[in-house]
Amino acid sequence: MDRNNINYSDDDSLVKMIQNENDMYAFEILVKRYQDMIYNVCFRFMGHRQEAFDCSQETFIKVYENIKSFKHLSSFKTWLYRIAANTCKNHLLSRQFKIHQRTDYISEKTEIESNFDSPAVYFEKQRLQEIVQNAINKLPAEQKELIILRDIQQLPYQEIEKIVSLPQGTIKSRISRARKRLKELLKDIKNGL
Amino acid sequence: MVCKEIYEKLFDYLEGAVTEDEKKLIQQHIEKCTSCYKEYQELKETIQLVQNLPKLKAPDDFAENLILKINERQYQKQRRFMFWLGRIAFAEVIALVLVILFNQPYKKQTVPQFGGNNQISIQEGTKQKEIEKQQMVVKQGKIKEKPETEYVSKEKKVQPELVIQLAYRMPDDVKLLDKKFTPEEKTEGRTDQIIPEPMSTRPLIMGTKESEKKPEKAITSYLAEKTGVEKDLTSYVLSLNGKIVSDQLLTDTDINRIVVVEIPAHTYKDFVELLKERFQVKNLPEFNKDADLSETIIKIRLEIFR
Repeated sequence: MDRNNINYSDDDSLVKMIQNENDMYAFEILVKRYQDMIYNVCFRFMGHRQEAFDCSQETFIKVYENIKSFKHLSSFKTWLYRIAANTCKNHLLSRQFKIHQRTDYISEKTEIESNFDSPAVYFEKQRLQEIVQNAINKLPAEQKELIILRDIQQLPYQEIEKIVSLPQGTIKSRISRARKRLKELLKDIKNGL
Repeated sequence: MVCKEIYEKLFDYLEGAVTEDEKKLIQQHIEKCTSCYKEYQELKETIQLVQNLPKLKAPDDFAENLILKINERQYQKQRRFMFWLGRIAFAEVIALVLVILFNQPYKKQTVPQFGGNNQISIQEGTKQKEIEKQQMVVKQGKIKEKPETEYVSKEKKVQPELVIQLAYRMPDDVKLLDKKFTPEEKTEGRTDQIIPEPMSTRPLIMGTKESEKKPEKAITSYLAEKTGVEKDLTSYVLSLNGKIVSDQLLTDTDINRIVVVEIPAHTYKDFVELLKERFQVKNLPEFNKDADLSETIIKIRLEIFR
C-alpha cells in the first residue's frame, strides 16, 4: 500500500493498513485519536483512574488482536465503543474490582478543565463532580453504559443502537429509568452531605 | 393533558423528540403544575450535571505504554509457542525412539549358563518361545541339559572337578557266567551292543544246543542292566538337586562311559552312597570338608569302567 495515497484522517484506511500490513504506525495513529475518548468512557464506567487506564489499554489490545475480524460493517469508532463497554462490564464483574472498589473508589478526584475558577468555586465543582460520579457508580452496568453513551459521550440513538445491539425503544426506556434513578441518587447524596 | 401523560412525555420533551403541538401542551402544563415542573427541573438538572462532567485526558504515555504492552504480549506468545513447539518436538522424538525400540523384531539376550563355558542365546518375540520349547524338548530327551534354575542358583561356587572311578556291579547270574569268559573277551566291542560270543566257547559247528545259548542270554540281561545306568544316575543326581552336565559313551577304551555331574557339595556323601549301591567304587577322592559347603557345587567326573 502506497503511504502517500493514504488518508490518515480516515479510520477505515488505517484499519485496512493494520489488517493488511500489520502497520503499527497506523495503529498508533488510531490509538492517539481515540485514547482520550476511550479513557473517558472507562473512567466513567469504573470511577477509578488506574482501573480506567487498565481497561482502556485492554480495549486497545483487544482491538489490535482482533482487528482482522473487523468486517467494516459498522464504523471503527462504534466497534471501539462496543469493545470498551464490554471490557469495562467484564471488569466490573471481576472479583478484583469489587475488592478494590471498597477501598479507594470514592476518593477519586477528577481534573477540572478550567483553571480560572476561584478556589471555592473549584472545590465546589470538584465536590459536585464527585457526587455525580458516585451516583453513576451506583447504577446497574446496563443503565450506566447507556447514560455514558448518551449523556456523557452524547452519541445519537442510532449509534447507541449499534453499540449495544438493542432496539431504540428499549434504549430510551432504559435511559429514562436510569435518569430517574440518577435523579433520586443525587437527591439522596445531596441530602446526605 | 394530565400529570401522568406529562410524566411519560417529559423524557421525549427533554430529548427534543416531541412535535410542536406536544411541546406547547407540555410547556403550558408545566407552568401551571408545580409537581410536574419540579420533576421536569430535577430531570433537566440531572442530565446537565452528567453532561457537564469534565472530559478526561488519557495519560501522555498512553500510546507508548500500549505499544510496549502489545510487543511484550507478542513476545510472550512467541515464547509460549516455542515452548509448546519444543515440547511437541521432544515428545515426537521420544515417540520415535520408542517406536524404533519396540519395532526391532528380535533382540538377542545372553544368559550365562551354569558352568560358565557355554552361553544360551534366547531370542525375544514369538520365536523365543518356540526356541525355548524346542530346547526343552531336546533337553528332556537327552536328559543332559536342564535350565540351571531348576538345580542351583547362579551365585553358587563351583569346586574343581573330582574324578570318581566306577565299575559296573554285575548281577549274580552274570557273575557266574563271568568265570567262563576272559576279561579281554568281555570288554571287546561296544558295551551297548551284543558282545560276540568268545571263540573258545562257540561251537565249531553252528549247533543249536540250548545249553550253549545260555551265556548269550545272560550277557543280554547284563547289558540291559548296564543301559539302565543312565536312568539310575539321572535319578540320583536329580534327587540331590544336582544336574548332569554331560554323558559320553566311549569305544575302544577301558572306560565305557564318562558322566560329568554337578551336585551340591553337602550332598556328596549321599551321592557316593547311592553310587555304591549301583557301582563298584574304585577310588573316592576327598575335598575340603572344613569349608562352608552350603553354597558350593562340586563337579564330579564319573569314569565308568567296563
